[in-house]
Amino acid sequence: MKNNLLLITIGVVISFFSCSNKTESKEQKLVAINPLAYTNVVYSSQRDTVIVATYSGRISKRIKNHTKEELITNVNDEVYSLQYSKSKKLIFASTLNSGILLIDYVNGEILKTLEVDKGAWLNTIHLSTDENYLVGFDTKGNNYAWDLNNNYKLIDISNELPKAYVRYVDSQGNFYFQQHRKYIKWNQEQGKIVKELNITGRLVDIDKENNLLFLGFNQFKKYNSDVDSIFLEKKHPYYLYRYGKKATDTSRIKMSLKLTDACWSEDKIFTTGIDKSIRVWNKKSGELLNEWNNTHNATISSIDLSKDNNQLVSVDLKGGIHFWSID
Amino acid sequence: METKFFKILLLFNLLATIILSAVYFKKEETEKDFSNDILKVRGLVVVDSLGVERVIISSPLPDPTMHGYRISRGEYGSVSGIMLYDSEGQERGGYVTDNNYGNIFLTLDSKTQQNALFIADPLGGAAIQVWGRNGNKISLSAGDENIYLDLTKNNKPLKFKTDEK
Repeated sequence: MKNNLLLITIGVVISFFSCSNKTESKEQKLVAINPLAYTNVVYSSQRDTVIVATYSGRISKRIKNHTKEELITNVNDEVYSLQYSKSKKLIFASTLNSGILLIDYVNGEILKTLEVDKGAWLNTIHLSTDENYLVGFDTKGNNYAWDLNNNYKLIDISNELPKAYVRYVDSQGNFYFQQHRKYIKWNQEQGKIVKELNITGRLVDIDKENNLLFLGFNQFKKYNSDVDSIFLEKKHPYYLYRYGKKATDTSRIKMSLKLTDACWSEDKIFTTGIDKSIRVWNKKSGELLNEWNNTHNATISSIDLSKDNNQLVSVDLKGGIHFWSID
Repeated sequence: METKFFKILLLFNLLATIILSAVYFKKEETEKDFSNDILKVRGLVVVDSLGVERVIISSPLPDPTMHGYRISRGEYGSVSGIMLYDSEGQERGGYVTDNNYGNIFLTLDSKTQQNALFIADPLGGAAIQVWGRNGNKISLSAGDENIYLDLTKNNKPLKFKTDEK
């Protein structure tokens, strides 16, 4: 009896200490707070399935007509830009403090980290269409070009072009560097400058004919490689302000607000911005074909076009996502 | 044997009840009332019902976010104070001191840029500036030696009178 009592007492005391209220607080940060905003979106399949990222570190799968996210991983860091390698089933995610993370698309495991300069981060990364190079520049102005076929070896391009920032790699292995008021097309294999383009803005897309799509503050520009000059220069014509719940509670404000993203198919250009709309333009003539105004309730941060060019996806800063069928 | 087992079980239950009650009352005591205390913290974040940051008081303040990414204030651009954010988490203005030179300033920002600034220099003098895009700007400043009023429209200085040189 005495032994039993002793055992029970010991058990209760152990239970007491294991139940005691620990007051250790979770490490708090001033960043990675906003859990809603989708910062970037990329297709991971032919259509209907995309990968999205948030400031709060979630990297998730979104499928058309599914209301909920399918979490791939939570990296506990802000994620700004995503790229997806279809051949390797690999997600590249640029983060605030963890460099570039290489994440297995199937199980969400972080397989590798590409380091960047301490205290710096890359807001945009670009994976070449042939999936040979991953490029970008950090907030201190350092360029990065990783060779995916050579164990992610960092190619030293900083000495070749000072004060130039790498934004894009085309299918021929040409690197596009942004300099003050111009772009430089630099061939990696030849190790020399191929061409200089007198154009400003952010290079966002290159088509099969080597035409270039640029974003300025509130305008997009199509650089036509045939005539070696800007062929189109357009702005969103107005901002549709919604002041009530009814569909008619709107007012057209004649302002062209900042554009945040753009892409193009064979015959159309898609642009979006802080006016929460997507505008569809004829790629050849520049005619405004369509305006998608009433779907997103926040700044559209990113758009992507499906590989078959039949679907567009858009995400916004309040967690909105929409798949658009393209005729 | 059975009676002995139930006695032990009863005793165990009694002891468990006493211990759990003690834990409960101890927990009640740890919910502290701060209303009469002074809090000393490095940062304070106010979030809305959806978890989006709307006010941050901190030293230093974080770099601003911009439509899906974060931009750096730069090596010497660090600031401390109060910052306000809109429902998308976009920095829209603050009342801060910079951590290097020592200016104090109040800023009001659009979604794309700073548009108004009210600033005082640590060595004396102050200025108010408001501006839009395309080179439209109004500056009003006063120092120990002089005053200035500058108006710029489309990047060109604007004259107050037609005969002004």
